[in-house]
Amino acid sequence: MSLNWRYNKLYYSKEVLFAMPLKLFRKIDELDKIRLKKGNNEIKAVFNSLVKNNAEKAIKLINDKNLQFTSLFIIGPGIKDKSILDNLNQRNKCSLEVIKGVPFDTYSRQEYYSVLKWILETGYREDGLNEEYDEVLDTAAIILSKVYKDNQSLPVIEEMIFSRYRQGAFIYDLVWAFFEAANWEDLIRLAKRLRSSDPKDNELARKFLNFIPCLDINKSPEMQYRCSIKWLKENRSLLFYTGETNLQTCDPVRFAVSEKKKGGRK
Amino acid sequence: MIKIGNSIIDGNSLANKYPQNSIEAKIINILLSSSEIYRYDSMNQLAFELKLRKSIVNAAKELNRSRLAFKVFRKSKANDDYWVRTREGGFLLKNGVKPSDAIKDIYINSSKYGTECSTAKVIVYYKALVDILPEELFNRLFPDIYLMNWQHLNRNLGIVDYPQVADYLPGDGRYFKNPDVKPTNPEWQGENTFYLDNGLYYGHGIGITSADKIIEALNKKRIRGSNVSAYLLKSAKRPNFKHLSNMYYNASVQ
Repeated sequence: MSLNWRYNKLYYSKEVLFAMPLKLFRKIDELDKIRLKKGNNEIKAVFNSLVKNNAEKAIKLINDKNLQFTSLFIIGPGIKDKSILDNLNQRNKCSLEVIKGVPFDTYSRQEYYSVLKWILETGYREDGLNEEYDEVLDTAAIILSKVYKDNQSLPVIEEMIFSRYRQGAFIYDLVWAFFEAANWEDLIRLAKRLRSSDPKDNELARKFLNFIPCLDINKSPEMQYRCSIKWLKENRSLLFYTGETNLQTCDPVRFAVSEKKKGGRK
Repeated sequence: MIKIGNSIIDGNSLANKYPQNSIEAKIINILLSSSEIYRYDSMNQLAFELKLRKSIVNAAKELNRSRLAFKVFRKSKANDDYWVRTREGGFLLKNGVKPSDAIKDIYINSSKYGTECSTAKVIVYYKALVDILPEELFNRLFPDIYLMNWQHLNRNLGIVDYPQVADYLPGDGRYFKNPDVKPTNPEWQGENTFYLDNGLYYGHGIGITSADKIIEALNKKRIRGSNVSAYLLKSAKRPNFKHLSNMYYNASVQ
């Protein structure tokens, strides 16, 4: 993902923030700026102080359209002031319910969709914050994938899977979410990871693409990539999702070639 | 039908070696009456498979009686005297600890442990082997155990997931799939079980019960409004009985 993509979508990490032109920096919500510059404790302290001294500004900042989910996750559960809670916008109220694990029946399908997208897309850069946070991200990813069949979230989910794998963190729910909605284009993206300079990326991509017969660990990453792309292109219309998962079996084969379709093509 | 080398085995003489209604006798009867030819290199090899299958059934029943909790990987727990809980929620054997002691501890101090059904199944395989292999051999075969669903399995276990088998035998690993699971409960996307005997299965988190009851339990974890039922896959997981048998008898000879 390019730096421009990050700017355009307003999803910032600390590194991006510091390298950012001033014009764009001004667009970031103040609470996010405090969190990214000074840390999680500071954002809580600043927000609590605002609630006491300038409640109107506190509400304005937390309801800002550019606020990132991470800031709400840190501040939100600690808000006890009823007047603040009542004045949260729908996005924030709905997100707090998702954090608490309240069943998904208070808001409309479309509202949940927008909120889950917001949680995932503005929250994924801080994946690893803590177990609870990661669990919320996983829930958002699974529902977007399983219920909304939202392919557009898959690049973000993929990014999280590979990042976690490099760190030895838990990936299996995200992997399940990814493949439940993955299509051919997503497999092509996985194949591109075969030539990653990071051996962990290469290793995981090989596991995911183990249904490609020419994929051979003894070949160079570039050769693995080329043969995979070629094979995926040749078999594009024949592939189907098997539903196999890591919970189910040792070496899940997630896609297979349909012999029926293959026969029909001859 | 059972063949040892090139010889077909006489059913009666074999079945008589084991008490009537024992797990071993039931397995022998299934093998004998099958249209499939079950081939073994020696009588010892067959005897070892029977012994290990029985041990798997016993280890599964024993785990069911234990206080091992059902915990999702994010919240899994282990006795840190023996295991290091990894970031992904697996249990890695601690340095300087005997693998056999660490596996036994899961049963002895079971309340200190909690995990999902897939890891519980792997625990059963190891415990079944701890119970029948000499301690020295077990520790030599499995020096670096890492318990985390079906990943990181020791090669000496040789577990294979056969897509379809002619007969299902006590000790076979079976999987119930729940395709319409509630997205907020991914841990119920399926249930890893062992087939025990008399139509009963053991699955961690559900217990020992029939296939219908397991399907019923999984169906309760479906997304609201779904009418796609959970179901039992045809596949069966089996360790490499022959390899383990060879290891066992080679060690006995030495």
